[in-house]
Amino acid sequence: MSGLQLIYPPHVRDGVLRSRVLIAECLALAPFAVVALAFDPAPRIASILGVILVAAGAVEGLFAVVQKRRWDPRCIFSGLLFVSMLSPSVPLGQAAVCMALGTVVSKKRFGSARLNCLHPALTAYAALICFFPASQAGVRTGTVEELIVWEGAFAVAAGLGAMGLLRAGLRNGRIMAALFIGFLGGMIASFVFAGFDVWPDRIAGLCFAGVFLMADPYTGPFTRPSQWIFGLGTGILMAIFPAAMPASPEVFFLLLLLCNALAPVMDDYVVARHKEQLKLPPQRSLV
Amino acid sequence: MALPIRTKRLDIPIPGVPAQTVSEGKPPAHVALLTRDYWKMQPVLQVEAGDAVKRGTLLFKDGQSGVLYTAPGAGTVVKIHHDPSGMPIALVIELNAREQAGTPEERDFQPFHSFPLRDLALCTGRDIKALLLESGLWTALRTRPFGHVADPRIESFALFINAMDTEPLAPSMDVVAADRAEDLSIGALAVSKLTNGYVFYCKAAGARIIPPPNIGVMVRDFPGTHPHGTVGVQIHQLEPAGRTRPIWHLGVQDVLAIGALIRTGRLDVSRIVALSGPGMVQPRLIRTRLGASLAEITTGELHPGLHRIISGSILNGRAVIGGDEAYLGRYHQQVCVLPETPGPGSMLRRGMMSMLSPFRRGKPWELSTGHSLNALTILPLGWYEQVFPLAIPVTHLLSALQRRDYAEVEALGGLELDEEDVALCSYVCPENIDFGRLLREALTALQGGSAS
Repeated sequence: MSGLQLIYPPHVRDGVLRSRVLIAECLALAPFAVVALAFDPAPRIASILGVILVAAGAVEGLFAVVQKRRWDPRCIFSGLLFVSMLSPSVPLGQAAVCMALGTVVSKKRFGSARLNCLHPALTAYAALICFFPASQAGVRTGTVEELIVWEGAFAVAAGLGAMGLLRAGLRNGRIMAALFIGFLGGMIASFVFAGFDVWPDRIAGLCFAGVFLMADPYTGPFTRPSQWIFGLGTGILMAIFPAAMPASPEVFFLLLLLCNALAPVMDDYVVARHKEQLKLPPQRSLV
Repeated sequence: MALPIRTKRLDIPIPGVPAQTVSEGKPPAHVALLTRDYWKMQPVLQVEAGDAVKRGTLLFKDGQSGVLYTAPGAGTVVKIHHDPSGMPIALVIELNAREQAGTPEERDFQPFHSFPLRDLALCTGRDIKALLLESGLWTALRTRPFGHVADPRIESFALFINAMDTEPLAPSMDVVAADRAEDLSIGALAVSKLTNGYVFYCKAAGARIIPPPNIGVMVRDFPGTHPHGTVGVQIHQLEPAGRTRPIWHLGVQDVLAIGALIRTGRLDVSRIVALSGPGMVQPRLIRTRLGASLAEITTGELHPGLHRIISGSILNGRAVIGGDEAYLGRYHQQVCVLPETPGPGSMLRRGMMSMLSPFRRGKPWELSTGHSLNALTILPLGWYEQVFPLAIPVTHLLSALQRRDYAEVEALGGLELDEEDVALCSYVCPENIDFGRLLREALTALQGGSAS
């Protein structure tokens, strides 16, 4: 009977929607992007960005049609992250192919909480350095003092983004804190064993990876203990990596991808323990 | 040791907070019994449209458990609504003049065979159960898991009296139960006989009204912030429910009604509800009756404009399209009125503010009555964990709900939950997913699995 058709709760909602989350994330990335453009104002960036967004959007659109769902605008943010990782000399075709590949590989089954256990941007980057290793040759030039100033600017920009994201609740404070603590610990260890000189040209990449890639809630773990373990472990690895493998900075991102892939494993362990505890007789709390 | 409660406080800044003073509401001319209030009920009609009924006359019988549903007022059955499958969903009674005037006489009350009871201290649970079943007050008892009316054929593991309401714009239970100490002590003693397990009286920290200490009811304090006042949180903390551990619970207004029934032999259908929300001219508590017509009790109380009249809270209440046929839900303690139109401000301002909304969390400028079920997938931003108070990995649970992986829902502890426990998750969900409905689907499927 239409006269008694129900309107279901909740009748009010928080004003935050998926599209608005995306806009906030892009705003948080803006300071970092500005510093990157100031550091290396390559005119090709616009065309790289365009090609990558078209590739990511097209693949996402294909998935949306096949899986009969809406187009997920988050691929725009993944595309922006991928562009931030690329060297401006990368061939357009290679960038587009890798972005498409990264989107395909990292997209898992619709509806799963573990939507992307691999970050699309990281996966795309991994594809690039596996298939086209020559495209990502180092581009940083200049004196050590200049580099330190630039890296400092990158760190401040990433920090600003992190603050905005934390304020908006789009990054998990626990993962961020664990990353920071692990990073500090690992850095002290790497100073002891390798000295300071491996550091200056890595700060930008580390801040970027820490804030925008590893603390990404979509690809990180969801349970509290695994968030700590994930953050601490990733932070330590991120810090000791430049000391351990100074010759091949690209492999750093593969390491992050590995950490990404381990996040659901940690979650599964925590959830399995929770299920086991439920099978035990419940603990009374009468006092 | 108590399990940890992990919720951060979430303020929902909605205007229309009711003044905590009780006044008489507009007397309704129609009341209704709604089968939607009772999950899993298989109603067998005992009356027809046009029949005269007394307060307490049998209207429905549950074909499965045998629970009786009685008339909440004396008058005439004027309408029986059916859903497309032919199942009765609402039975509307037009109250007679005496009921409408609030002065029912002896002839308006159905006498109960089980009344009077012997000395209450000597009564057994069976005596109490017989009286509650016959009067229809048994329907006050609901069960976890599954959230339907308690099955009188089984024993409960524990019983919870929920004497707090922390939903937004809710009435204070101290005001509701004021001056009814006798009914509270009789009612609490009576319901405590219905179980061999523990009986908990859960109240807000600082609430003054408690049952007398010598009747075996354990009083427990909970923080006065939502969702700590929901019975799901209380059960989870004190005596978790499960398939083999059915827990019964009821609200304090029903305990008062049971006390009044045992004292007088008459069915007490009075309810104190909060008239609240931005659409209400004078938000306050009113004394009205079970199943009252919402259109009638809110006449002259609303600001002009198009409104949504909700029976229950803004998070977990129920509204109907075509507000004339809306009635107060069996377990609801508030009537909330929200404007259906968007908030003030130019389109440009609204657009700008919406873009910045993630940075303004906790201060939502727009509380929308709009709705979208076109969900992509859940967004694991950690917000569900912030508002979900139980020790359950909530992102995994909600994901399992959305994938309709019901075995996983049960394995994660989803049987303990009810719609109200996931209402806040729906509130913060950026995808506007209605987890309450998904949970109900899951519980229905899981209960079917247990019966077969």
